[in-house]
Formats: sequence, structure tokens, C-alpha cells
Amino acid sequence: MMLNIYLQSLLSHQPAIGVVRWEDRDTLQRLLAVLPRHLKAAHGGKGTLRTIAAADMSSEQFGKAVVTSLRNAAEACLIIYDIESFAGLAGSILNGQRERLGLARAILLCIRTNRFRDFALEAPDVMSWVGNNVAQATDFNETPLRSDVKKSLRLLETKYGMTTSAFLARSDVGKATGIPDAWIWRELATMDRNMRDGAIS
Amino acid sequence: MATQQSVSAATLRDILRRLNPNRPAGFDEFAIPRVPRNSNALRQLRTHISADPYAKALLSGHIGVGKSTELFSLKKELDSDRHVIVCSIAETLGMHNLDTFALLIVILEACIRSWIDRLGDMPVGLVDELVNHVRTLVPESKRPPSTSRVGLIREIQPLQELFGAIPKKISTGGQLAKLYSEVLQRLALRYVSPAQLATLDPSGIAMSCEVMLKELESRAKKPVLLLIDDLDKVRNPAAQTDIFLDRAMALLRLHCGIVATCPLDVLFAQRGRELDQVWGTMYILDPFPVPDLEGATVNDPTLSPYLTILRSVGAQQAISALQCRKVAHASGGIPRVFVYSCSACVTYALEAGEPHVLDYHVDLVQRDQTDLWRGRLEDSDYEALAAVLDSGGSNVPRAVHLLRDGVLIRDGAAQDVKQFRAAPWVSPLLDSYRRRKALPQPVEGGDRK
Repeated sequence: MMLNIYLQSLLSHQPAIGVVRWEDRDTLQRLLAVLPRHLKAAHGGKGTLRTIAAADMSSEQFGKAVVTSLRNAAEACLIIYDIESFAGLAGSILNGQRERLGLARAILLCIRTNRFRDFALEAPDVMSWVGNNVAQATDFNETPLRSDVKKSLRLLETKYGMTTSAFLARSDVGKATGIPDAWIWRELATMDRNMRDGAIS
Repeated sequence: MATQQSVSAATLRDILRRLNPNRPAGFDEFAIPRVPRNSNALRQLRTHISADPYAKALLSGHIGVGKSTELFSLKKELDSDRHVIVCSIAETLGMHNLDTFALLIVILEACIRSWIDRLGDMPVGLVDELVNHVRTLVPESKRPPSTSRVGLIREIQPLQELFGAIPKKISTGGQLAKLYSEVLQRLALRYVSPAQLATLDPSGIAMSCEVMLKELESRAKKPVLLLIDDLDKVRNPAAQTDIFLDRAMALLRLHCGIVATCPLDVLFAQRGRELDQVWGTMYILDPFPVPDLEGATVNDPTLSPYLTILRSVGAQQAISALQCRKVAHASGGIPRVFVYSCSACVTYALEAGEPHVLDYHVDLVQRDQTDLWRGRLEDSDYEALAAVLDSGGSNVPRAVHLLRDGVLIRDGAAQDVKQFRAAPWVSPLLDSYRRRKALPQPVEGGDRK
């Protein structure tokens, strides 16, 4: 399945909630690198892209992040990932916030396959909205272009108000702990460097 | 001469310190080194576990036959490819307190500790999720809140007694590990009665274990292998059935490889055949081959493992090869009994001020072992034992309790067709019973001398 077809199908629903399951973190990283470009294209270049990376969040922080991200979100697309460590609780929280989820233009949830069941059990209402919009990350297995990586980097630079080189300098001295997207930023920077050097064609 | 004796005494004390029958061989530098054994069961187990990262296997055998030793050897072998977690039930809970609920708590606590020790603190979200599962231990809390509060409080009481005063906020893995350690302490000391425990729903803890193991695998970036030691010492038939059959799915569902020890008598009990259906293949670790009493050469391959044990702790200075043969024969091929007997021999020599174990000391130890069982076996036990030995192993379910106690020994590697024999320390008592009852003597049977 092509990613753009999946996203177009997702955006044709309202509320538009999709789930992408992954097994290998590299596959997830590749997907996250190309997702902004495809999502924006499917949405006709409109709206904003918001992300919640919940790796280091408590369930309480996650609940707050969901509420914050869905404020004035009529044209916003929200990507949620790294909820595996508390998949069950995240399911309960999202199920409890289901009316609010409907406010966003689209919500895409990325979750590791072996925790999907735990999530789905706790979020029956959300899952009824998800319906058939469940896909495997490997289905979208396409190599990201350097332009995708650069666009994703620019999104992060805008979000956190600093350049990638400034972020890397902070990260090297251990001062990037407050940035939830730190790991994906580092991965993207590494991918960008490798593509520039020809290590990834 | 005095100096010679004091040197010998120090040597004997050193040998005695290393001849510790209760520490698995190869466990650390103070334990006896492991003796490699030629066992098909172990070869098959290793192949099975190496090939399938999520394989679940049971390792059975008599108590003291070397199952813990082999588990620790497996841990060392697979440590680089797997995230290996060892759960020792006897140290944390006590075998008499074990049921599926308690076993799951032991596993969960071991997983949390392993994560903290080797991967740093746990993610806050995971801690939240695991704490949330505690709520579901009370079936009442899963119902809508409209249920009467009186009923709710009554149901929650065992949970409060089990978990004590739960801290208001648990946000780190360390706090969670401490909480579960306290729960284990309460279970070990039976602070909560079994009747109260029965009202708790174990599925919350089972879910916690599942979640924990999935996340552990993801964080460690290698499959998890759970080695559960001491399960073979569960004597209560109800607990055996609960853990290995009725609620075996609590273990089989876990997202990891599992090698657990299993009591040998479960296999021959009434529902023993169901084990194969539930667990697939069971692996039975056989005793060492038993050397004949008569034999002049030290190159006898059946004597070799016993001599290796003695040489590994320098005990060849204190125990001769002939004495080793005698002790090995009397141990029935059970390494722990052999080590225990050797240490008892050395103790007798030390007490007598002798620089070397004398034949008389070996005889004393053998007599002690027999005396331990004299008067503890009833006529019905002897009858069951004789029935098994005379039938070549057809009446084992009648004598399953004797198998549990090590009075009846199963030896799958035995050369002849008879795979069951009486323990050497019980043979004199059985002979005496046969003479008393004037039962016909079997033509070839047991270990009778």
C-alpha cells in the first residue's frame, strides 16, 4: 500500500483516526521521516503538523500533552508515537478523550505490534472510529528522500526554535533531555549526514 | 607430626568449605566447578532454546541431580544473545508458599530488578501502567462504581493487607521494586491468608508480567530468557497441578523463553500425561551412572565424574579412589548426595583428628543415611516400592510419593530395561522388609548388595 493512498483514505473520514503498527524501530523511523511530507500533501498543503513523542512521559503528562495538542486543532494533524511502555493506560486516556480527538483533522497513532492488543482493549471507542484504518509500517516501506529528511528537520527546528547544529551541540553535552523529540532529531540529523556523504543512496 | 596434623586439618577444613552440597556447581568461585555431563536431554534442551527464542521448556529430575547447575550453565552460555533473568523461588518466597499468583509476583519482581540493574531506571509510563494493573487485582474494582461501597471495601481488604500502605506516588522502577519486594515478604511470611489471596484476581499481575517482558525485550534489544529455579521442590500436589497444568497459561503466555525446573513426580502423577499436551516436550535429567562396588581401575568411565568433582576441590588428598567408588555407589548417582556424603566423611575425619578419610568413616556415613529413613517408611511404602521394582516400572503412580522423596530413583540412562531402582540408602531397609514378609526375592532387581 502506498502511504499517500492510506493517508487520503484516512482524511476522507471524520473523525480521521488511523493506527500504524510497527515491529522494527528502524521502520518506524523511516516512516516518521516521510510522514510529514505525505500528510501535508494529502491535506492539500494546509494545516499544521503536531507530534506527541511519549517515550519519557508519565500517563499524566501524556494526558496533558493530548489536551494541549488538540487545542485549536481543526486543521491540525497529530502524530502520536512511543506510547508502548504504557499502551494500556494510553488507550484509556485516548478513549476518555475521544470527543476531543474528533476535533483534530487527523490523528495517526504509531504503536509496536505486540502492544497493539493492550491498547485496543483499553480503547474500544477509539478503535471503533479507527475501523479499517489500521496499517503496517512495513507496507509503506519506501526510502526517504533527502528532501523529506530536510523537511522533517526544518519542522523540528521551527518547533523548538533552534537549528539542528545547535541542537546537536546541546545534545552532545547532555542538555537535550527536555526535548521529547530528541532521539528522532538525532536520527534525522545522522540520516541527513549519511545521505550527504553518500552512505545512504 | 603435630605440624603435619595441623596442616592436614587446615586442608581438610578447606576441602570441607568447598564441598558445599547446597550451592549449584559452577555458581561462583566458592562452589564446586561444574562437571560436563553426557546427557541427551541437555543437548535437546539447548538446541530447543537456542533455536526458538520464545520456547517454553520444563527440566525435570530428582532433587540434587544437577538441574540448578545446568540452569546456571545455560545462563552463562546464552548471556550474550539473551537477556537472561534467573528467578530463585526458594530464596525469595519459600517453596511451601508457592502458587501461580505468588510465582507471577516473583517473576515480576525479578524482571523489575533486572531492568533497573542492567538498563537503568524504567520509563515513567511503564511504571504507571504496572501500578494501574494492581487496581485490577480486585475483581470488584473492574465493575462499574455503582456497586455498593460495603462490598467494595470487603473485597479490597486482602489487597490492602498484601500491598500494605501503597505510597501515594510511585514514579520510579526502584519504588515499584521495593513495593513488590514487600509483597513477597508478606507472602513469604503468610501475612495474608490463602483464603483471602484466593479472592484476588491474578490476571492483573499476569498482565503486568506480559507488559514488562515485552518492554524489556524492546529496551534490551534481545529476547528475554527466564530461568525459573526451585520449582522442582514444590511438594504440594495441589500447587503442582495449579502451576504446571491448570494455570500453566500464566507462564506459557509470557513473551519470552522459559526454562523451569519441574518435580519428577508430576510426570508420574494422575494427570502427568497432560503435561505433554500443555508444555510439549519435557526434558528429564538423569543421575550420573553408578559405578560398581567392585572395580580396581580409576579409569572406569562411570567413576570419572565423581573423581572429577573430588579433584576440582583438591579432595583427592583426603579421599582415596576406592573410597570415592564406595561413596559414589552409595549416592545412587545423585551428585548432591555424593557431595554431601563426601563432606560428611571429611567431617568425621576432621573430628577424629585423622589426616585422611578412613573406610570406617565412609561406612558411618552410609549407616547415617539409612538411619535417616529407618522408621519413616511404612509397610505400604515398602509394598509400593517392591511393586515398582518387581514390575520393572509399571506401578510407578502407586509410589509417586517415594519418587518425590528420592526413595525411588528413576534412571533413564540405565543400561538394562529396569529404569527404576531403590535409593541405595533404602535398599537395606527394603531387604529387611522382604525378609520379614518372606516375599519372593527378585532374580535381578534394585541395588541390592
